[in-house]
Amino acid sequence: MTYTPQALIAEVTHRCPLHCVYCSNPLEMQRRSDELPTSDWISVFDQAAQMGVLQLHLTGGEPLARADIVDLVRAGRKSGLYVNLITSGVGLDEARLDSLIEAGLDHIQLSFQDVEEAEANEFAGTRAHALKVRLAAIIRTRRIGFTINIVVHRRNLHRLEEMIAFAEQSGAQRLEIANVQYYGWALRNRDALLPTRDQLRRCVETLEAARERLKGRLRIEFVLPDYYAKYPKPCMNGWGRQLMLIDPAGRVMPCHAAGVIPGIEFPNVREKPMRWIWEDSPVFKRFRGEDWMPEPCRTCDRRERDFGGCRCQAFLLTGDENATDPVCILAPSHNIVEEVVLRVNESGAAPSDSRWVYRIDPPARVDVLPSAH
Amino acid sequence: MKDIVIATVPRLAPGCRLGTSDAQKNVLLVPEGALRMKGPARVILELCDGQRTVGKIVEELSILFPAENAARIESDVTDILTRLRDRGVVEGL
Repeated sequence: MTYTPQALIAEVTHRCPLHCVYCSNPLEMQRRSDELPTSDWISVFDQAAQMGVLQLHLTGGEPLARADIVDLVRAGRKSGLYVNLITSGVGLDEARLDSLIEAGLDHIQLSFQDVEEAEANEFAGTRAHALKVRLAAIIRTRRIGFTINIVVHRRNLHRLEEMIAFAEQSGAQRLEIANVQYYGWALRNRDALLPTRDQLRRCVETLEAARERLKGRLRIEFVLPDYYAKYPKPCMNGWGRQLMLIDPAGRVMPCHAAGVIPGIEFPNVREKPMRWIWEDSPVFKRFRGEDWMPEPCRTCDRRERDFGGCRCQAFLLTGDENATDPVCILAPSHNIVEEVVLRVNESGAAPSDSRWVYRIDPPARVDVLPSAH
Repeated sequence: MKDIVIATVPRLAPGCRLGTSDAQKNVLLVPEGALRMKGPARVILELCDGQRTVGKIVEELSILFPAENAARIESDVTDILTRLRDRGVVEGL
C-alpha cells in the first residue's frame, strides 16, 4: 500500500509572543539559530508539491515572527500549494496582511483564547486579545478564506454561545471550536483544563442548535476532547498516511507530538529528500499498516477506522508507544484515562484557584504564576 | 434551502479555488482540505467567475455538450450549485 501525503505542516519557527497554558509545541523547542533558512523552505515546498501534497499550513510558534513570511507564502503558492497561515495575529497589520494576500495567501486562521478579554489574556499569558478583535474586523474586508479558531476547556466552555455569536458577527466563514488536546504543555495543565461531562453535554446541544441556525453562513467544526470518547480518534488519519510536519530545524515528523516518543531519530530535510523520508524512512514506516498493532487492536473491527489511536498519547499515558491508545474503552490501560476523568468530574467545573504552569521561551523554564483571578 | 435563481451570478467563495497543476486537475481546494470533483463539476466551477449568470452557464454548457438534453443540463447545474452553495464553496446565489 502506498500513500500520498495531502498536507504539509510547516512549523517555521517556535518563537511565539503568546504563552498559552495548553501550547501544543514540544517541551524542547528549536532555537532561532537552528531555524531553516528561506531557501531550504522553498525547496521543501517544491518537493512537497511534486509528491502530491495539496495544502501547506504555515504555523509555529507564531509564523509572523519570521521576517521572510511573505516570501514563504509566495514560494508555497508558486509551487502550486494551497497556502494557509495559522496565526495568533501578533505581528500582523493591514499592510502586512495585504502583502501576504498579494503573495498568494489563500486562507488565514486566526486563533482566539476566549471572547472575554481578561480571560483570553490570562490563558495566553499575553495581552493580545484586543489586537485579535481589531484584526478580525480588517480580515473580513479582504477576499480571503477566514477561519476563527477558539480553543476551549473547562474554564471557558460555558461561554460557547458567546463564542459562536462572536464568530458570526466577525464575518468568518468557519469557526473551529477546538478542545485542548493533552500533549506538550497542555498535559501539565490537564487537571485545570479538562472539561466536565456536564459541560460537554451542554456544549454539544448548543453546537447542534447553532449549526442548524447558521447553515450556509458559518461552518462550525468541533474537536471533542478524546478523553470522553468511547474509541480513539483516527489520529492524523493514520501515522504516515496523509500528513507530514517539519519542525523549525528541518526535522520531519508524522505529527506535532511524535518527538515525545523516545529513540526516534527524525530525518532532516537538510540531509534527505522529502520523498525518501515519506516513502522509506524508518520513522514514517514505523506505525504504518497493522504489523505493529498489539491486541485488542490487531483483531479489532475498528482498526481501519482509528488505526489504534494516537501513538504519542499511548506513550505519554502508558510509557509504551506500541500500546492501544488508553482513551479506547477496549484498551487494557483505559483505567488511566478513567481515573483522570473521575477526578476532574468530582472536583467540578471552573476551579477558582487554578494556578497555571506557563511556558517561558526561550529557553523553556517552568514558572508557576498566580492566576489573574 | 432556497432554489437557485437563473439570473444570479455565482462565484467561488473566498478561500476556495480550483487546483492548478495536472495532479490537482479534479480538485477543489478549500480551507479544510480538498474536494474531489466528479463529472461536470470542474467545467461548471470554471464558469463560476462572478460574471456569468447561472442561465449563461447553462447556455454555454449546452454549446459545449450539444448531444445533451438542455433541461438535463440545467438540472445538473442547479443540483451541483445548490450542493456547493450549502457547503459554503460557492456564493452569490
